[in-house]
Amino acid sequence: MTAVTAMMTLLLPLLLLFPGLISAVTVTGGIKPNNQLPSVSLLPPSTTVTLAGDRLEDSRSSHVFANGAFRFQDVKPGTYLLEVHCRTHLFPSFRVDVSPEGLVEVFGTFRGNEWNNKGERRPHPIDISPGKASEFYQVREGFNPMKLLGNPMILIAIVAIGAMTLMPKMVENMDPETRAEFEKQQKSSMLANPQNNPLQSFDMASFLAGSSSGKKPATPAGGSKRK
Amino acid sequence: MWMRHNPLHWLLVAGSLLSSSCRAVFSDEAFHTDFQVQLFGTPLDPSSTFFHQAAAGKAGSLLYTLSNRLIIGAINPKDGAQVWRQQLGEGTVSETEPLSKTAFLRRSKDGRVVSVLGKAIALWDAANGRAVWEYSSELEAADVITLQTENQLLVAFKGGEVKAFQLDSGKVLWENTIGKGHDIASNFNFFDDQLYLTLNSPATGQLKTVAISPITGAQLEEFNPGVFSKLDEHVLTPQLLPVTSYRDSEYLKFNFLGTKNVKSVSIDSEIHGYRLHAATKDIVFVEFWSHSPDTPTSWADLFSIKDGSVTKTLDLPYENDISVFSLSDSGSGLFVTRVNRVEIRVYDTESNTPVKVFVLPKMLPENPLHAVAEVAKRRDGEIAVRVAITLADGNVILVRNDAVIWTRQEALASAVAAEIVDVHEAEDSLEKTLHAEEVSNVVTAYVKRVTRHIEELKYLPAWIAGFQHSILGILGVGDKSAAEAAAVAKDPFGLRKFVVFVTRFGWVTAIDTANHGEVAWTISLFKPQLFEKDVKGIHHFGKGVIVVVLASGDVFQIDAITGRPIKKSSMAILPSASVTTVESVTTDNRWIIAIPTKEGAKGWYWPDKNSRELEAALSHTTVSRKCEGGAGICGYSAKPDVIGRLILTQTWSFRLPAAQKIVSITNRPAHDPIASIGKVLGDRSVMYKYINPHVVLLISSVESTSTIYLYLLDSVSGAVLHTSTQTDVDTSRPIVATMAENWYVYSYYSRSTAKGTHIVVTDFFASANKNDPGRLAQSEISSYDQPRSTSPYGLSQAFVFPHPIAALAATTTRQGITTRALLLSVPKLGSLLSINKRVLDPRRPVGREPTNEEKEEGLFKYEPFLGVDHQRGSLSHARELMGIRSVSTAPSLLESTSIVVAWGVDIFGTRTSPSEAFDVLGRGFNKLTLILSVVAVGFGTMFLRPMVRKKQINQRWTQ
Repeated sequence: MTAVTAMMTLLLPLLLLFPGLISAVTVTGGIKPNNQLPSVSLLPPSTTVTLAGDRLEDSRSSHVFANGAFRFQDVKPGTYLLEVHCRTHLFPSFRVDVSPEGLVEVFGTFRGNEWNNKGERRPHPIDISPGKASEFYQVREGFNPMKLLGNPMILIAIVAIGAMTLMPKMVENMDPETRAEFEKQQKSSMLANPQNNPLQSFDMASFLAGSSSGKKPATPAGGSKRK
Repeated sequence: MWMRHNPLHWLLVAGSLLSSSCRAVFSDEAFHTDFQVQLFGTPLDPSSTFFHQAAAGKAGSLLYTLSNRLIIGAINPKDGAQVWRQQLGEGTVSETEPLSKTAFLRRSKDGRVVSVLGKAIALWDAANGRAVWEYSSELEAADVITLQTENQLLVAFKGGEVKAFQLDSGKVLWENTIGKGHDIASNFNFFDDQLYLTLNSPATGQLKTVAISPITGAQLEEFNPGVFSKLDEHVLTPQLLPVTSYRDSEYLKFNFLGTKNVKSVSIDSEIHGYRLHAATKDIVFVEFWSHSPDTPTSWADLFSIKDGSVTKTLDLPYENDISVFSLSDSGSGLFVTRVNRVEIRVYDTESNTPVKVFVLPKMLPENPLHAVAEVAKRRDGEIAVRVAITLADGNVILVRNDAVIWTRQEALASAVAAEIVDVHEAEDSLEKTLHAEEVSNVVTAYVKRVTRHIEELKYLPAWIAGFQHSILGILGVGDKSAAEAAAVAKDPFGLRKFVVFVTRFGWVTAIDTANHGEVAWTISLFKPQLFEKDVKGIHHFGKGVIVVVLASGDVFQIDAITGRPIKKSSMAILPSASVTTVESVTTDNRWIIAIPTKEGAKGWYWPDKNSRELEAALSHTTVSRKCEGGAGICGYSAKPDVIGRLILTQTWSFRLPAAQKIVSITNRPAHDPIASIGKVLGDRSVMYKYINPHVVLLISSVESTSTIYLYLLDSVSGAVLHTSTQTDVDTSRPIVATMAENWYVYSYYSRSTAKGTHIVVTDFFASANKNDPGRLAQSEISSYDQPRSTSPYGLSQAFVFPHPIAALAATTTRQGITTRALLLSVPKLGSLLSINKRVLDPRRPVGREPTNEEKEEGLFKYEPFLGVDHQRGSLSHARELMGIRSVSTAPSLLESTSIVVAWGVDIFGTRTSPSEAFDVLGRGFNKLTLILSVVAVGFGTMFLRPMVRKKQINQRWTQ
């Protein structure tokens, strides 16, 4: 019986030399880890690779083995779509053409691509790396003080408060001449508008009657508050 | 004010659109608001269920099993938790074919198990369920054996072919065909480094045994002449025995392999079934049972097979009940465990009085089907036993000594029908009470209200007691689980449902969606086996009553809340009849209607009362079913006759051309409210929806031309409203469809240049023109009045989807205001995905950017490829669902939320809000923060008030 095995070992290279003798071929490949997938052992054990032919009978499915490899034996000539079905990672798909001579050609493809439109050619033992890891959960937006600071309304308020506290100090540091002028200016504006808090003594009746229209432009503080 | 500005408006519309199409699972809701019952299915065969060490040299073993759903996996015997599982094949299980002949699971070497399903052989890592290698052959595998010393796995195929695989790589080391390729291999035996194979040779009509070299696979010797006769039938023999066993009608015979020595034991195979067990090579244990379910009997014999003779050494007494046996070798000797409904008895091989009896505290709910046991004898001679028992109700329990440690509800994996029941519908709701008060006169209403209030006083102490809890719960400092449990008990949002399943084992089981899918109740219908065709329907009859109709005509009324049987009645029915329910127009009475397949025969209705009301209910409608021969749909008008019969008159028929076969018939769901009768477009014009409660979608296929045909019919008049066809369809792969509102969605596998799964959506409008309400403008709409000009205007769009779809469903809400979402079960991913109907809008502009008006309508550019985005659309998130075949939805009291239950093998339940949870505060809403900020603002005002006042006064003085 050892003679038979010896014959087989002799014949095998011959068979490989004449691929025409082989009616069906084996399509192999493996999942290669990358930064999205540090180790193949992180894939769920149910990860499968399918080779979908035109008919359901020609379609195959293989689990991804412990070392990341997959294998389809006795693949008949035809054109196939190879896909990795995995919940945790997304993988690119491939087009696999098996010629009647037993040649295996692999092209990169994508869903929705017209089938006649072949993509980039790839080497045969197919190496597949995941494109991206699946993200399952949506993150709730909690309370974030930095985000609050980014709000333009808050920024305006902060600037206004800053100006209010800084203004008297700036006035103190002014040289006497400008300061006198500034105070005078302030005083005149205050005379024009004696109630500097419009909400405190707001004349609702005159406002509704439209008689306060003259005053309005002179109350910048009030205007900003209403905003 | 801002809304006037157009760009901002666009932004808002786009924002609302995005938020509505990307409703996903929040990480704090995942695993809380959803549940999954992870199931294997009922263990198929005692030889495929065993305790086995997960890794060589590791203490403790796991329970491995192969189920009737073709799932293999490991269960932790300590708590019944799933360690891993894998589905063999594509998961399609034939309902009636015996699977144990083609599928089995065996131990292998170094913490591995080997599975066989027909032509596929796979070796799995026993610890984590990873495939080590797989092999698929041209022939069906008959038996596998692992040769420990050679580190190889031998497989015998049905054609007599034997292959040896290297255990680690799966490389074929040698292959040899025994005989001329016509012999059917059945059984390996390996003992004393001798390998034998028993085959059935059709040429001679006899069995034969051959010796094979385990190194080269060469056939060494053949022994058959004079041993076997034509009447002999092989009996599956444990591989470590030095005999092969076979039988004729009177004897069980043992042939010592490698010799012509045959020994027989007298057994009547007509009356009794038997199974052979072995744990060592010199003892064979035969378990007997009666074939007849009316006269259950069981006993067992132990035979010593030494030195070419078979002698009975022990017989375990004959009993008139069902008990099952397990033989185990614990290292401290051989033990036989006998299990029946009340006790577990452990025997040694010496005497037929048990060495230990464990009486179970409670009788098991059903008879055992088979059991595997592990017996340990401690140093002090004390016997401890651990038995995994498969019960006749389909469940698996593990008993340690006299205590049931865990129960797995594996029968639910074999559910054939399901119905969602609203728990609160059964109770007299406040709404109804208030309505009653409204309609009665002032005095009685007042008395009623006062009595109701006095009655409600009894809840006050409990409310006060619970007040502290609820306050703490609001602050988020209390016991969260207690607060959640209280919310479940109150269930103000109607999120709690019972899902009632009828299983293949003849049981009805309800699970509670609010309690992580725990079993609420279970009840037997006293039917040993039910198939999908045997269950005619499970209907919720209102008032918390579930009605199960079987093809045999039995009608079971069961209380949906307690599981108490109310009444069993029977209805004359033909197994082929189609069964529907009819609701009364005036009251909440309901009837079950059965229409026989035979043309001209009378139908039946049940219950046989209120026939006037039924007549009224039936007078405005027709009932339809598949025509005789299945070549179309026929509609009948029905009128109740005496003694529960229905007079049927055919009113219409829709017959398909000869080549077309019906794939599926889809109706609109019973609860399918439409909130808006039209779709408002960007230019403020309206496209009116085609609204018809009687539409039926019929899909038929022609295999030879790879074409499917879709017919939209009116089930009352039989009118064909719309037709479409799809070519290049693989009709052998699943074609699924769902229908709701004014649209249907279907999916199929396309072989066209855009290869892959396609999803097609079709929306129906009353007219192709804007602002044309069509028939909706008429005060009365009749199915009989449908001129061609009023036929609906259908708009379709197709999408390519990366994975095959096993089931489709649409979400449903109370008022139908919320956007619908389409639910897809994707078995290749083990996920339940949700796609918002807005994405599947056939009005999406193709090949151009949307105009401003289209943007305002919420449309965006059509993309043919519909990818899988777990973050946006996976309802099952990180969970792996197995074998989902059907998805059911039900509304909750919250308009935003739909309850989803997916079932098949696993049961997965969740709630989903396709337009976000707009009517309820989410978990992200922090009540504590809200209270704290109000307090902070209050304090701030208190501090600032005197300061501001002082400043103002100062200002006045300075003026």
